[in-house]
Amino acid sequence: MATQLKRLDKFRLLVPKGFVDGMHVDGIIYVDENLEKYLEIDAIKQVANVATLPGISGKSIAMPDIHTGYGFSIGGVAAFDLETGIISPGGVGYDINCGVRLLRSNIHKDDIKDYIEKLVDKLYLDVPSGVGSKGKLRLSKQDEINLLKKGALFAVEEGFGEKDDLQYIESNGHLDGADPSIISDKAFERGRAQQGTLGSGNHFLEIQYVNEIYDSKAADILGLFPGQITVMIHTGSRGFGHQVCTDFIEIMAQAVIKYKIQLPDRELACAPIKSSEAQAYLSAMKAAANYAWANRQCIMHWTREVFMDVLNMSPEDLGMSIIYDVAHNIAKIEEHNVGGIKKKLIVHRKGATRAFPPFHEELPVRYKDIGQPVLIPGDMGRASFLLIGTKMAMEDTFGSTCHGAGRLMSRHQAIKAAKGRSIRKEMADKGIIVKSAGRETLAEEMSDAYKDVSNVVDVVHNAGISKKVAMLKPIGVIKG
Amino acid sequence: MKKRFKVIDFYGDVGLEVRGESMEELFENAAKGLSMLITTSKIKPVIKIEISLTATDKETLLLKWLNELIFYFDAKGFVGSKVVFKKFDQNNLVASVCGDYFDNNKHKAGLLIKAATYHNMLFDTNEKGLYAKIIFDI
Repeated sequence: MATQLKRLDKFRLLVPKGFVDGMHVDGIIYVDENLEKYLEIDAIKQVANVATLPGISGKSIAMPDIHTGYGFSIGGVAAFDLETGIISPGGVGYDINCGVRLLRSNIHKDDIKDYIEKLVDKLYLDVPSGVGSKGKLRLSKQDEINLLKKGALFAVEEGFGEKDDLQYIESNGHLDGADPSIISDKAFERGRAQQGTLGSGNHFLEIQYVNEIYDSKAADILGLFPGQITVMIHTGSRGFGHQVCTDFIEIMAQAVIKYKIQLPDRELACAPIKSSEAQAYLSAMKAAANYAWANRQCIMHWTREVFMDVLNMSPEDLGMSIIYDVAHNIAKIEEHNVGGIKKKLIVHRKGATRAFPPFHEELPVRYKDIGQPVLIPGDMGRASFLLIGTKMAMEDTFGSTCHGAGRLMSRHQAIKAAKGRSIRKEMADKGIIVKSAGRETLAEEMSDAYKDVSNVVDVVHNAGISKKVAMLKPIGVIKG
Repeated sequence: MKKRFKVIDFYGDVGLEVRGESMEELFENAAKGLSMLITTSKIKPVIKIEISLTATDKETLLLKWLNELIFYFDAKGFVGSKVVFKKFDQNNLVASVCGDYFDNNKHKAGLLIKAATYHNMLFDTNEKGLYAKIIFDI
């Protein structure tokens, strides 16, 4: 390669124009020297490839949890002009609106230490997870149509949670403009039985506690205190979203030929934002995003019920409410400052989290002074983090930050590394009770298989694109 | 007998390297490899489904074939174990696939596969026969 990477400062690498042919803008990767060791050449190329797409605005950006994805890297952020730009299903990913929801409670961990096993057992029973699991909900076609249009609101109207929950969900738990009539029968069918299920792989439901607070003012506003029990839900749009992505990669492959778009990689398939193909994808993607928000809403509702039942507490005493819910695989039309001019752009975040600053109009009133809560799940043995969005994120990364730890080992390597060990027991020795449908899932998902999320979070914190508020440690884990 | 498919690592995901002496055999082996990723348990051929596909090229046909089987598993719980092609050319296939519904009590759960992707997809012919590589999003 003629052009080399260049370190801009302690936290950023430049992928200069010319790194691959046809780049319209530079790439920027947020990594320090420590995480740079894990940078995959394929992932760097993907950051550069994205910079070749028509109408890209600013820079092709990647977060410190970057790794090789399909077309776009995981941890990628790319914004496109609404006149000259494109939309790409590969820039969102197969699990549309995969995301994270964090719940607070009034309970201190010391008060329930004898109940964790019982809570984990009941959560495992009441929240379907794993390969071949079916949801408890029976949706008619009309139900599914309503759910796709309304997102979390549909779940609330069906008795899952409260209306007040919605303001603490990104986009209030639903995107306008989802048109179920363009959704394939296959997506409908995959979606029907999977609403209200956790899934498998890296998706989880965790009982955690607040281990450390870094910003007490923000923690107060977020209702956090040391030792407090929190619950984190990490899942997405399940088979529904996967099918929408599969369907549209096919449609976009045709669109690329029709609109004569030159692509360095077939998985970057896209269409001009104003084309009928792009508008159809945007609408279908919104439906999948809504599906995911309803999914997390249902799972939260069952979680609250399990806690009330096992701990024999009233909703008021339990005080389990949403801190926030973020999407980390999504494309959204947002207003950003481009060269001093306010402009609407379509921002793709694939394995990246929105991190809007204080006083942004999309924030709930309660968080106006501190900025948007950002939820970063770690691996099941170490920690997860709560951060807040910053002005610098708005200026430099289209209001975005990282989304997780990022894998270090392949699944096979992890299974090999776990051979002869009982991951469940190792976790229990650390005071973490784990329940999983598949034994191999535990091996694949063990801590050693992931980068330390603390390193990832430190980079975005020190680079100023989000700010650490609290560290959350797991004590009970449900894996698919 | 030569190994008909091999599971390969791809960062956090997995892929299949598939071989066959003919396109039919390659597609059948790809289907068997996919079933093996879903469950390593033996699947009895007791249920039959029909699949009919059209594509612009052989890569897309293979991708559609695997995504169709992923759909049948994810939506209906169907795992295939035996394939008979009724029609097969570069752009079209009609097949009947026999298999069974996945049952957590009978079958060991493997991976939950989101989709087959075009990523690093390879199709090759050499003196040993046909070869393809497909990466799945897990």
